[in-house]
Amino acid sequence: MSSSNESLLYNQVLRVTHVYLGPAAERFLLRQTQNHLHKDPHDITKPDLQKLITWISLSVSMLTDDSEIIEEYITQLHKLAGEKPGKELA
Amino acid sequence: MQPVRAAIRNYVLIAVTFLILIVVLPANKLLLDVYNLTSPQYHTLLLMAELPVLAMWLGAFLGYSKLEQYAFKLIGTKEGDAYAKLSAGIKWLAFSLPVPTFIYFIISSFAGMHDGWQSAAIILSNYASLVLSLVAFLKTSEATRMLRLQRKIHQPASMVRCLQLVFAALGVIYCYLIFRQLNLSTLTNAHNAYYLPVWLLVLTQIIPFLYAWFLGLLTAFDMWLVASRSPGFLYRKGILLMAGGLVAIIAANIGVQYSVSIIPQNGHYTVNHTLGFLYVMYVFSILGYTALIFGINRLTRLEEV
Repeated sequence: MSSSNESLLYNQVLRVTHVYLGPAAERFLLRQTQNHLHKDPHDITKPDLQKLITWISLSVSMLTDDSEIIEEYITQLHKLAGEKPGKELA
Repeated sequence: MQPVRAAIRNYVLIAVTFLILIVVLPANKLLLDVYNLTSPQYHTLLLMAELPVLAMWLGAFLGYSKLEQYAFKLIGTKEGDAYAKLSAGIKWLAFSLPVPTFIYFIISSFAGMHDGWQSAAIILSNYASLVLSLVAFLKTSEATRMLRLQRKIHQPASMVRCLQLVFAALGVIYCYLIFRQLNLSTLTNAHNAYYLPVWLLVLTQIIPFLYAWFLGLLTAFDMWLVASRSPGFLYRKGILLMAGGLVAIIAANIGVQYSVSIIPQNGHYTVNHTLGFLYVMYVFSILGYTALIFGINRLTRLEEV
């Protein structure tokens, strides 16, 4: 049950990322989770998502200067994490 | 960085060789007389006239190398094969620019001294241009078709009909402009600006060129469809720029071949509206390759961060 929950979370994150990165979304998430979380993307949990959002925010800011797009994307991810947008991790 | 470095090395080799040929090859005597030029003046003017061509070749070589680099990053992915094929096609298209020029330039430079070399220059450069373009457009059309089918994008019927109409119109005009220069009373007559019997010209030049251009138009059409319907806000910015560049490159390439085919070549530049049109196409091509490179850079960044 828990692995299917994790997979569901990954699919949700992928769906949100797909809106911004299209066909590159899956590869982007794979790199972010493998390089920064050292785990398979399908195994990410809600606590992992907090860290992942930080890395995604950094990476996407290297792709675009459009702060509205970045904020919109990160907000969507925070909603998946059950967080209020703007809550920073220590 | 390897494909880019290799491409720049190839370009430098080709460009330097071309510049040496411009300086070393004998001046066209007819042109010297017509425009009252000395040999150094002729070579200087020719060098200046070829600068946009050299800029276009640079854009082409950088363009294909960047696309090769991007395709390398996509190996093993769903789109990997399609982009590999597209980069191979653009590479053939890049080489289709200098190769016929070299052939024509070298052989026609000796045409004043040896009879029959002008005809050899025209025949060989036309066939070189045809073969290279045909291979290029075969690969690119297959690549963009793969991309379109992967994304389950169907060609809208109305747009397909427009494309067919445009191609039919361009094809008919092309055939008319060629045939009016030929003696059609006999199909074996080779006394024309192309130095080929009419039947051979039709079978091995006109029909294949039209087919190559059709494939080119199809490439541009499919690429534009894929780009305009791509998901992903950031992804679409990159692929639209790339597709726009590709459309401009293909249109310019077809435009150049079209005008060079219908106006008989006489071994030297003639300052007229055709030359003006060619230069417009060169500028269009340079802009196309610039857009292609910028688009690919954006897409490559998406695969690197």
